[in-house]
Amino acid sequence: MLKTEDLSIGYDHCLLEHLNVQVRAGEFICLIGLNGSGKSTLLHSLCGLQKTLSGNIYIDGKNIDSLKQEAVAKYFSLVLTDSIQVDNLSVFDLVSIGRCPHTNWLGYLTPKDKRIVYQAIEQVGLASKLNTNFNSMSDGEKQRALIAKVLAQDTPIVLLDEPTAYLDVLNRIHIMQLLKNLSKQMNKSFVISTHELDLAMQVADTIWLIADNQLYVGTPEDLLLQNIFQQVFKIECDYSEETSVLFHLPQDTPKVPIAVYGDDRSSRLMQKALERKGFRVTENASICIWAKGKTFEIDGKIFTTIADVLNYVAANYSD
Amino acid sequence: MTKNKRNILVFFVLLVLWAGSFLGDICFGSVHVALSEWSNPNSLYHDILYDFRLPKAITAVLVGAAISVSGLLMQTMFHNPLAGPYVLGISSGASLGVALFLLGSSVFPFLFLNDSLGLILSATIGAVCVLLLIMLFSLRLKQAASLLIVGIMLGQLAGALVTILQNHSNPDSLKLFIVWSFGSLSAVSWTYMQVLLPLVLVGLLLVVFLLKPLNALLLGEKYAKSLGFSIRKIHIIIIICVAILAGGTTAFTGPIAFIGMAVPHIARRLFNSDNHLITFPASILCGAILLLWCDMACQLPPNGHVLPINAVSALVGTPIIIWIIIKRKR
Repeated sequence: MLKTEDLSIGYDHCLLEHLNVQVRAGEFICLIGLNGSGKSTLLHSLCGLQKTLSGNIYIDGKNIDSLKQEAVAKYFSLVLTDSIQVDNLSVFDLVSIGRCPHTNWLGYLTPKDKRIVYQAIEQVGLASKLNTNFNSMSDGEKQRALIAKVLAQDTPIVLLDEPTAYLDVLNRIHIMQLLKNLSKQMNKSFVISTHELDLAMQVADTIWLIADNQLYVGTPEDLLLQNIFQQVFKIECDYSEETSVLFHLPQDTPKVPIAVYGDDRSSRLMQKALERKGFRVTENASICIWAKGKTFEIDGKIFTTIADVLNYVAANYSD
Repeated sequence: MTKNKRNILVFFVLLVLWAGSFLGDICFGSVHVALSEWSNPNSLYHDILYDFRLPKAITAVLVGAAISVSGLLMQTMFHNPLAGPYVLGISSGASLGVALFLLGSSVFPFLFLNDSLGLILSATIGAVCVLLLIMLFSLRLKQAASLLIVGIMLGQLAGALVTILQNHSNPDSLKLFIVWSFGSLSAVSWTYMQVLLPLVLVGLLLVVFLLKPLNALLLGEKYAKSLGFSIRKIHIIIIICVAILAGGTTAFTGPIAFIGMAVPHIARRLFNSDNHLITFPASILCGAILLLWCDMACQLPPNGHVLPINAVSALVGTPIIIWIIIKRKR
């Protein structure tokens, strides 16, 4: 879907260079990094909001620089951290503005546009606030309204810059869960910058971690397995029983049973990743994964990352 | 859906008010004229109605609409509720242009062009220059409040230059300029109307094409760009529109204070909306009505004395603006 080629980004000085990342259709990516590490810059650069220093960005095989702004707006929709300062804007009006790339020169909403706007508002749970003034709503509701705007824009890729900042604990969990569900239902790719490491580890298909002017990419479990967090944050970081209980997000009903055997830590991480992907991990199952150090064996094949195992299992055993 | 019905009702009321005010403005004046005199082509009253009051009322409608819409454009572009052609120095720029044209002839004799087109052009160019300067500063100043201060300063600067010009000009052209700066709707004869009417209509028509990007701009420039609009292109078209609507009309009538800034707020309050598809026609109607009322208020003093419109519009506009600032508790 989206691919970068030797991309360098930054303002006057380079923040991140030689980025070769990709976003697959329907992928849920969480972007993690300290303040000022370049999270926003990366998001802005990906969608052409900010000039890149060098390198290329391809969307559907087309170089983004060759596309007009109108065409780019049909690929990317955004939720930014900038506050919106309007006194009299209803939720409906706000979400309708999201339809801009699809409406005519006057911005006239056809019945189809209106249906999409209503549907988007319903999907984020604001149906009862249709005519409420945007600026009179709570931060959580504002975030939902902006997410509805993004849904109305109806783009394959959605970029969200810290959608959970300034929110209370409960709202953070609800927003993350909402985003995850939307990405699943609508098969949209989400790239979300966030400081919620624990939430991100539970919902992300892929983590983009910015640290020390480098971007580390991998499934949450792979990053743990390779001790990346320990390396870059210089702190101990792993799944414990407590964290998985404290913020447990409900997952879809697990279907295919898989058994995981082997080393304690790597099998536990493997199990975690499988559960996140909607598989049921049991003691006895026809599909078995053997974890040994940093390698995994399934059906006689050896894999070195959890992501590869997940891809293999998803390709062969999902129903 | 009740909201839509309410909006239609408010629009209808505004239309009725507008038509009533238009007729009222024609009837009401220093000389009492019955509308029945209209049909009598030989009467002196017919001439007053046809050659004086009718063009004046049409001018009030056109200019009221034009400066209100330009205020709306500037408020959206600068994300600032206090933006308007008068406050941001656009009118002062136009004044400087006109001063250079009317008074400068004694300083620079070669500039002398006694012609209405020259007056209009000089006012428009003056307005555009100030607008471009403000735009230039807006690239550097992200805070809207500081931009506003820069606009006010530019207005003061233009005012100072005008004072210098006045000091060096001959009394005849000085009087001409002072009278112009009082603002007058009756300066527009049928000949000038042939320029003013198309000017305003073209300006307003251009704005119609801006309504969609203006709505996107409400969310901020980054969001507008992410929705597929070229910010630079939109800013340029907005500047052209403001120059035509505010600069062009100021040339004909002189500066008219605070209407451009106050009317968009009235329009938003009446309809409880920032959607430009609503605030644009609402500003046109409210602006026309308010300036018609101002014009009628100008005729209030007895014995044929008439107040300058610039003073009356300030008397009407400033309380509205103070009310807006108090209401916005942010």
